Amino acid sequence: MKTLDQVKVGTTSKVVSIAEPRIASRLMSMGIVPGISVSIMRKSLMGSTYFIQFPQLTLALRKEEAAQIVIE
Amino acid sequence: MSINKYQVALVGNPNVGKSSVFNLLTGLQQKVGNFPGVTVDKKSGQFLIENNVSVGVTDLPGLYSLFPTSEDERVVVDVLLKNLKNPSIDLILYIIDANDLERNLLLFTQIKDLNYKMIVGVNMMDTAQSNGLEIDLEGLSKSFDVPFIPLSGRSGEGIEAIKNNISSQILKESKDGFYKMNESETQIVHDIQEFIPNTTSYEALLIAHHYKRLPQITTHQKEFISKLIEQYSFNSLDHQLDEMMNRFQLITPLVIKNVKRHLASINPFTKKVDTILTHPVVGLFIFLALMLIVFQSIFTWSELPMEWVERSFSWLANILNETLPASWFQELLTEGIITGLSGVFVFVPQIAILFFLISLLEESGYMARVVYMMDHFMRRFGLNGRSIISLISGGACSIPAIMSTRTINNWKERLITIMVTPLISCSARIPVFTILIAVAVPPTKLGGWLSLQAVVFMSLYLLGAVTALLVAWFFHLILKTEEQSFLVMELPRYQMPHWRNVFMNVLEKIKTFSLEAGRVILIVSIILWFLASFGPEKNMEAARVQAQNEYNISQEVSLKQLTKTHELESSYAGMFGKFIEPAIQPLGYDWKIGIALISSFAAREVFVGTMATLYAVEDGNNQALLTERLQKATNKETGKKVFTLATAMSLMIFYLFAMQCISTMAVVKRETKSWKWPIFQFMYMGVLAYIGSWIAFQLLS
Repeated sequence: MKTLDQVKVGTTSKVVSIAEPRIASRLMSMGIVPGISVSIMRKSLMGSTYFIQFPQLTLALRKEEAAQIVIE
Repeated sequence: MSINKYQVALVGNPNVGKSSVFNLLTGLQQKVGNFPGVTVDKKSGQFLIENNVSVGVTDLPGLYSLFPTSEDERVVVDVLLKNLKNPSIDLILYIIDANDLERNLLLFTQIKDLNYKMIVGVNMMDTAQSNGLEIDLEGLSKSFDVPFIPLSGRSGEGIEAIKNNISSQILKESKDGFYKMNESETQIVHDIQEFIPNTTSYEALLIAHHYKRLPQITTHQKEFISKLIEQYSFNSLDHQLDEMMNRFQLITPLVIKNVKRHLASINPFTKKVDTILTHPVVGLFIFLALMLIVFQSIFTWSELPMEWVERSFSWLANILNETLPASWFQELLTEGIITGLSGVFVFVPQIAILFFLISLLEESGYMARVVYMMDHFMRRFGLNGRSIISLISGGACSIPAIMSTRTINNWKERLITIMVTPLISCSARIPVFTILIAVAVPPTKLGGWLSLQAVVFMSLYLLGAVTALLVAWFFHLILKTEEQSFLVMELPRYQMPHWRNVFMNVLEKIKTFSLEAGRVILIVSIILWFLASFGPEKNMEAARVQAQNEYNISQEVSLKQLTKTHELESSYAGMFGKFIEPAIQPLGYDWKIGIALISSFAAREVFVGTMATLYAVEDGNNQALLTERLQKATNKETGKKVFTLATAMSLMIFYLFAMQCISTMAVVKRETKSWKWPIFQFMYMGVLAYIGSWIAFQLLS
């Protein structure tokens, strides 16, 4: 199982599911549903905060939250 | 305010331009209060529609769904559910961003299922068009059975059309629900509806999700519902996900039907700018440079207007002193009330400048990027990325800095920021540090070029900042919260700030400060004036005799000044200074410093003025003379110098750590909605000041 924190900056992948239900609920309310494409644009200086691009939405996530996003 | 015929609530996702619409609707007819029981701000106002009908409007916090994750969002769910039982809202004006229809419609369908009458205001139609979107608003209106009205939060276009639709929409009957519940949801909803009468089906489902936190649900009802939850093994989070999934499956085809997409719609401008502004290294430098500008602006731009404020009030005081007959009333007016008012309004320039700049950062979309960049560092200390802006502004003045914490939506992070911001050395400490350093630190140059006085000055600033972070870290360890700390934050598109919003925000901050904090500052100024001007009549008489005797011996100082000096010594404040002398002796202070500590309770910079009075320096601005007098001052009993290096350092550390600013306390009370936190802050900072000064004095003497 591959999660979003394991991919390199710049790669685009597809969201399969979100493991932690609280974060899943939050993300889904922002329109992040399984099947949507996602890419990491960049990481912050210490590498612990991610700048994430979805088709209609740009988000800041922590590494811990990104690790809950299962991707293809 | 007149009685409003209708009540409208503004609802929508964050960053859709809700506040622009609110400002356009109400203009200056608005005020800020708070929702009962919580610290969330409630903006309300009113406007007129056809036939001069007055409509009240409340701006509810932005949220993504009726499954909230923060206090702000929870307020919306509470208000919407409570209103079903006790109706006062007649219509929901739901604002959406034309560029993100699908995502914005999720919450819309949830609210519609609560049977609210609605109008949808479609904001940012112009950018949607340039992004290659062709939206059939009539088609959407038909599909969702609610009017979709195009509007521009920038130009105000469409606002009239919304106003014209309000009364007809309120009178319209609403149709069936949008979301079809699954079997287990239907069962639990059925049972709740039987138990709580007059509950609609989606309302009952939301009660099943949120019953634990809903204030209107009685303990008895809670017990019943929790049994039902167990009986049907109703997992709230699973059902939330299913429901949202289901809603999107219904929304997406309707959006596809009504929207033609001509281009890929990621904003290229925002993307390009972000590669620089959020670059892991370059971005940080740009941020630091911006903060330097903010900090510098609060300092330099406010200098002149602050001087005007002070001059105008002292001009007024002079006139009153000359025209009114000398009496306690004249003194109350000039030294109590006018000094107090001046102490309130002198902060207005700094507040205006800081909020002007913060509004620009917030409105342009940059602030969210700051949170992204600073999150890692600030999180270690239990702070939020936004806290950095409050802490840096605290270097100028804690008052606007603490007011700026309102954008931190995690309550614990916000509270910690409020608690530690006053530890950052503000501009009011500068006069105190300057005089004490001049008195006690020799003007030697380290290694021939580095001024020792400057090093001491810098070290005090550094000590303040480091202590603030350490205390934050300590609070982070001991404060428990139910709110989970996670960061899932939208980074909105960059845009030109809406000047109307910037202006309204600055105006609102000034109004809030002057009215709410100003009241407390005024009252305390009057009390302090009383303490410093009155004393037991016998002692005050003796003080006047002593002044006369001293004047007879030497005419170096005027009789008026000598009387003032001795009266202050004999006043209630003076008595209090002598009373606390044993407590402050271990810190190296005598009773005169005690008096200065008490009078500085209102504001730190008062220290200099009080010292000038106590050491009979007539011109309070004559720093050189005051420095000389303080250097010569000796303790009558021991014959030793009062202001040794040890005492001066101890005193500076006291002024660095102690909460000697009634204005800050008043603002903390206003922001935390209770006296509990400012009192706690006063105590912890007092303890810190006492211990810090004691250590400094013992080490250096």
